[in-house]
Order: sequence, then structure tokens, then C-alpha cells
Amino acid sequence: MKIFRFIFFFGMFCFLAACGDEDRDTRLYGPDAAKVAGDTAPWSNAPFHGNQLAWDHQQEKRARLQNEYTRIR
Amino acid sequence: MARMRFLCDAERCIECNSCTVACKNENHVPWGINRRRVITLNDGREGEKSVSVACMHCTDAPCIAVCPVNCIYQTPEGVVLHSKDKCIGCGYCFYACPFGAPQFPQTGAFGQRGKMDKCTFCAGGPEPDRSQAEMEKYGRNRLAEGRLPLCAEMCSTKALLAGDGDVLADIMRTRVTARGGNPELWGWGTAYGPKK
Repeated sequence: MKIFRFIFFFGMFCFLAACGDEDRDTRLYGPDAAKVAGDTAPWSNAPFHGNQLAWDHQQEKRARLQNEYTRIR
Repeated sequence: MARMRFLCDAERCIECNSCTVACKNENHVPWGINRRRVITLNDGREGEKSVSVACMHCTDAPCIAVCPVNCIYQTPEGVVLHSKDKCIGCGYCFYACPFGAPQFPQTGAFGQRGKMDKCTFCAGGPEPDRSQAEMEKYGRNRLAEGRLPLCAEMCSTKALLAGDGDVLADIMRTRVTARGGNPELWGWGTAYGPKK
């Protein structure tokens, strides 16, 4: 009888222990993760003032400047 | 949209550590932490290769998965950032990271580590962009200025590249072609030496 009582209470303990577990914030994985975290897009403020296209072009231009095979010619 | 990546060309890296110094200086990295470091294999022997390593900003970052307070997040540009305000210094992200990117500034008798610090791709953190608070906690936000991480921009041989993954792949293709690349360039023999 003692063993059954032990198994019962242990099982109840395990069952109730999970009640305090919080769901992981899966929003931190999605496309809105930065917004959920309170961050803004890099083009939000000066000097781009929300112009994502200008930021993309600037980044691509700067990245391509790393290629000296085309830069030196 | 740009998907930010680092790429280090091991053929060009000369272990000058310009990237390490530039990062530490620009971002006022705490003492004892190197957000970026150069690893050298076969140091002083034939076949010596160096590669600059920092946070890889993984697509499926294990640090995000294990953080118990959800302080690590990924931006739509692919940059993995974290909030030092929420960080509790548990060290789980360090255990999970295969590259050892998360580092902690303190060592204490009872394991207190301080707030986690790591490479931010020069993209700051959740504080307002280019604010004093962001600068003090995470370093400079060069991405918001339209610039690339300083480590890549300061690389003396352009071994370390940073930027959109497609652009970096294009640059590497140019280099491989210029070097006379062939199908065996990336094969087993190149990576591990001739089969015995």
C-alpha cells in the first residue's frame, strides 16, 4: 500500500509541477521577433527615415565595394 | 530583403587581428571579452590556416532556443541580438552555442557572470537606434547608419566579408574563378589532405 501511495503522490507532484510552467514566447522566432523585443528596423530613423529601399541599396553598394576585383578595374 | 552574413576567406586571412582590435575599440567591449577572434590551425606548420570567428548569427540560433528569459531575438535581416536588461547571466546560451560566441564579463565565487555580451553585427540592440544607451550597452549601431560591421570594413586583406549573403556569395565566386577554381577546390582532398 505504501508504494502505491508513494506513486500516487509522486505522480500528483509531477502533474502539478508542470502547471507553473510558462509557454515559451514563440513570437521571438517569427518575422516580428524584433518588434516583440522592442527593436526597430535599421532604416527607421535618420538618415533613412523609413526608406527601406534606400537602406537596401546602400548596404548592397557597400558590400560590393568589398570586391576589389571590380573596384580596381 | 538583405540577409546579413559574415564570410571569412581562410585563403586570405593572415591573422593580423585587425578585426579583433577594430571591434573592441569601436564597441568599447568589456575587458576580457573578444567578440571576434582569429583562430589559427596548424600554427607555424605547413598548411597554416587562419579564420576570423564571431557570432555566426545562425538562422536557427540555439541560443534563442535555450534562453530561459527570451532575451535573445533575431531581426528580419538575420542578425541575432539580445537585451542586456532581460539577461540574467545564466550562461545557457554559452553552453548551447557551438562557436562560443556569448561571453560574460565577470567571474565570481558563486558563478555570477554578469550580462552576456556578443557580436551584434554592429546592429546595436533593442534600445533606440544610435542612442547613448544603445552605444553604452551594445556598442555602435553601424547598420542603422547604412554601414557594415567594422571588422569586415577594417580587414586588411578583405578576407572577412560582411553583408547580404547573396552579394558575399557573388564576391566569393569571383575570387574562386580568379584563383582558377575547379570542382576539386572544395573537395575532400582540399579540406583534409590527400586520402592515404
